Amino acid sequence: MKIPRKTAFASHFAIATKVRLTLAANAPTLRRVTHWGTGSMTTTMGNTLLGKLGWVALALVGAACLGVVALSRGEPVNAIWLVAAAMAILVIGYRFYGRFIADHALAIDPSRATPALRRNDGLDFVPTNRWVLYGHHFAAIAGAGPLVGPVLAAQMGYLPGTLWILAGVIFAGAVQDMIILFLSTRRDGRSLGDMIRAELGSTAGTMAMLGILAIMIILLAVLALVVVKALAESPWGTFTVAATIPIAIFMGIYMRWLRPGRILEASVIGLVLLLVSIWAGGHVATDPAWGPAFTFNGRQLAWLMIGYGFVASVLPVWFLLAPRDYLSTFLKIGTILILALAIFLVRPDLQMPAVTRFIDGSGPVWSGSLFPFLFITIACGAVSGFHALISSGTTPKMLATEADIRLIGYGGMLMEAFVAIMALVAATALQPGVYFAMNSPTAVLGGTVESAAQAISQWGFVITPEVLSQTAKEIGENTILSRTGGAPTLAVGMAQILHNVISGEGMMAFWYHYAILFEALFILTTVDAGTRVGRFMIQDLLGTVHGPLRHTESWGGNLIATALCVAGWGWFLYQGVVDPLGGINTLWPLFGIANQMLAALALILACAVLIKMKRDRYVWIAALPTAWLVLCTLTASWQKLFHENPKIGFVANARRFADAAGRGEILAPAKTVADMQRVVFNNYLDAALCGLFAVVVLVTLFFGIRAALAARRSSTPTALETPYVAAASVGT
Amino acid sequence: MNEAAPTPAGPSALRAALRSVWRQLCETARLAVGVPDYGSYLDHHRRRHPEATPMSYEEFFADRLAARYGRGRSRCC
Repeated sequence: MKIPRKTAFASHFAIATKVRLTLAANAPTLRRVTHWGTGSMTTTMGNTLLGKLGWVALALVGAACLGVVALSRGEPVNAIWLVAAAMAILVIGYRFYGRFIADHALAIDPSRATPALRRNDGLDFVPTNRWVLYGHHFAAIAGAGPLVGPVLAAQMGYLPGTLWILAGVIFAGAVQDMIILFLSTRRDGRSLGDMIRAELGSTAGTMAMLGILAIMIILLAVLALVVVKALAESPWGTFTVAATIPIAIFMGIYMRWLRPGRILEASVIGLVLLLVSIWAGGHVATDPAWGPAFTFNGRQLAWLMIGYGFVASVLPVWFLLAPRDYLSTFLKIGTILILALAIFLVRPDLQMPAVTRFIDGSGPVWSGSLFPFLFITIACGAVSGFHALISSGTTPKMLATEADIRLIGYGGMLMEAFVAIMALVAATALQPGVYFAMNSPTAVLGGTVESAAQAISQWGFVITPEVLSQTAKEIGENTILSRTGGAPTLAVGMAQILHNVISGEGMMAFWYHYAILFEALFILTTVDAGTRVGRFMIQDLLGTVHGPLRHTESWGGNLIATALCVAGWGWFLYQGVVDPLGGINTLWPLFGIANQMLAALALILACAVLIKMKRDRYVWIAALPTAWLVLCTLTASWQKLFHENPKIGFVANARRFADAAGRGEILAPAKTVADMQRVVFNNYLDAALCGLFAVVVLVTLFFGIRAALAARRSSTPTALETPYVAAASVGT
Repeated sequence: MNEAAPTPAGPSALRAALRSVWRQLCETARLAVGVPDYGSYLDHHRRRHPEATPMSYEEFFADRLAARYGRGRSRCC
């Protein structure tokens, strides 16, 4: 299948070129603005007449592109409009809103010594070049989230997702990342949990810890589910992903014993071996003996993942975890760059309508209406609470000056939004029929291409069975039906775009499996590393009951806590795999609510600290996104709990199964009464988790308001910053 | 920062510029996986702790590996 280019309208290309030229013309302005940092307001180009005209032109171009994207109806729109509009809006947001917050609300002070300057130890605290640190920060925040969320949200069309990503990142996501980075920099690089405990009180701190542990468990479960869904019944994909284990072990041995510390060498060798394994996977899949040996169903893969997660997080880190982390980090950045380049070269048309009928909540990919569910489905890319953990992690310890906070905090998140836009382009450039065939559960599609084509055509997205089987054949798979989870959809979208750049016999299948490998690789790294983080959190919690369990070196505490952590996410993973609605429908909203809940906690902290700093005038900057996220998470939690539609409400679904069991009926996928009871229990468990998230938000909100009111009564600032030290006095 | 010393214009200047970009890319790549610049560490050590022997690159690498994964690092979604 080829992605049609809009050659008929030469003007498309001409204007797209003009957009790029305009952006290029503005590039010197941007460079100078960023180079001079935030302190020198009067000398920047933005304030000269020429500079102002440039910004006005950029704003007009962005508005025009967005107008094309938003207003055209009936015929496909070229992706370049969307990408150009996004770039213009992100750049303008960075220059004006990001700068306003940095200069006025936070009053960033480049003369103040950062933790890296005051505590320079050459190891953890190191003043680092801003662009090097930008790369570090972006590599830490970019993960599977911004790739999967927009793909799932594409069922409502490309417009709702695009608008939310752009508005969300400028007014919520980037604001959160920058303020938390700022707060942590002013507090010696302390973590989010520590800062909440110090500024809002120990109860709020404990609630935040509980929330972070819960989101960790759900994150690991949903990411593992994405991998299971991508690899089920796919011997090619399973082989290549399995091959990463021996490859990583070889790299680990290489960097430990053969050539100690040679990261780049080992990574290049690893990358070559990965490409070889993709090629070999194609032969394995068609081999009569090896093909079936690497074919697993979802349940088998779930058990393999659970076993793997346990072993990988208990082994020494240099052996498997670290080398795999290196490989996945480099592959991730490289692939994102390749995708961006390919979208510019290929300029695919967006086949999906701007808005589909599924905004009413009846969509097959996930259930629930646009508000609030779009805003939790796309979490990463628009606003992600997880970033608050990264922004209060290693990055604040390496800032050379406070002037870099805007570039790294605000700018880093804008780049993630751009990745989300590209994922949205890849998904909506697919034929809608193919998109819905891949993302709808088997219960809706039936088991054959004929039944699937019929069902999807009835929704108004005409597709023939031949196209469905042909697409599967091209990507080297047996079927594309119900490959839910987002990763396979993104992989097909990427494969079709990349195939236009480097084409040839069998290249589509190669690109598809490359994309699957790229996603699976960094998801598995997150699963190993996340299980370790969860283990340390659980050991901390257990330590409060029985002291010796806290010792991270002891095997007893290690194994017990790891087993508990793996059991936690494994439970939700297995439940997702056997879910008749495809699992994603249950787990992704839970993950989205959890992630936005964490963002709400971080922003509540931001509001409270702004008031404690006596910057009440600017508190709306953090209060606006806080209010929106509290509204979204609470409404979504309420609907997931009490909605009468069993596809949305956990309690309603539990009742449906309980009532059927009471009448002696068995509902699919349950086969026995015991299965029925397990479905009932799982739904009540999901409901309880949703309730917990809502309670965590409300409790933190209460303590945030209390801290803010107390700060209002004080006549002096009460924020707990480390005392001012002049940067000039510590040297570098 | 590893600013290249001012050199005469021409191919050698270009080469120096490219080398400095390459060095910065390598530094970014290493830091992205949690290994900060070894040169900066040596500099710091020489200035602050002239009496002690700094870690060798291999020891430094092992130390940073343990620091990155030792307490478990938050990973993003």
